[in-house]
Amino acid sequence: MGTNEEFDDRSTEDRFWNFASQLYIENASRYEAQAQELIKKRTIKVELQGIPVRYRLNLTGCWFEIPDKANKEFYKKTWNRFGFGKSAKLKALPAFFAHTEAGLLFKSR
Amino acid sequence: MNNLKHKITISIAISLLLAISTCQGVFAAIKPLTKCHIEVHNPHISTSMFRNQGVLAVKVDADSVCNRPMSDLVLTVEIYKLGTVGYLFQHRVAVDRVIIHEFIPANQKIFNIKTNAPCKNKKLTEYYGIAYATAVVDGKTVKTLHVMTERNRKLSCGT
Repeated sequence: MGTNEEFDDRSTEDRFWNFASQLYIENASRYEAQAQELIKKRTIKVELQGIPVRYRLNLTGCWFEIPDKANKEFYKKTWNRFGFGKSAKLKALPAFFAHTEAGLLFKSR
Repeated sequence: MNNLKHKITISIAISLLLAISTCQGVFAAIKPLTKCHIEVHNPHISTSMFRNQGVLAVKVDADSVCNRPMSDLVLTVEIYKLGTVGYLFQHRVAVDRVIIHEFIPANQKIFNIKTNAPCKNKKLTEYYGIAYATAVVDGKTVKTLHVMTERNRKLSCGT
């Protein structure tokens, strides 16, 4: 690992996307329910291995936010554009959840 | 006459000495420059994502390196797509930030290679990427300029 967060070689990158794919398959139903909830509430908080994270919908996409050092505020970490429609968001959100969760959980593996 | 020449020579020598010593003082006060370098790679279809997830996605990678130790680094990569009228209707399709609070030694390369936007269809679309960073160096927050990919790339990936 190049740093504690990122990876710097292609085999680690392969393992990362493989892990994201694994998460997507294992948690498919949870991600779908989470997507429905997010569409309804616009903002949801989820705890991943004790780390509180936040998903926030905006007009065309979704922000994934992680807590700062002091756990007081949230940093905007990842954003993807899905389009204006609800159905486009519902379709894309599960993969977005898998990708962002993988980013957070991969370094602890 | 000779006496006057001698006086002029001495005064020039003293002036030169003063000038040199003042310059040395100025040089001693200058700290070594912080040089940071960000490299943004051209947009491409990620083979790694396709191989492992079966997903087609446009991806922009970036790396940064600084000649000074730093902390609280935030390396951001953004992907933009151009609209039908070029830059006029361009819009952002993805953002990803690498956030490292811990100490980073000088000259250590930091990578951001997860910024991607999944393709919705195979429509030929033009993309470019931008990368920038902020970090705390010697107790001060420093920001880099926004660095753009060398080339826009047309990819069969509608987002």
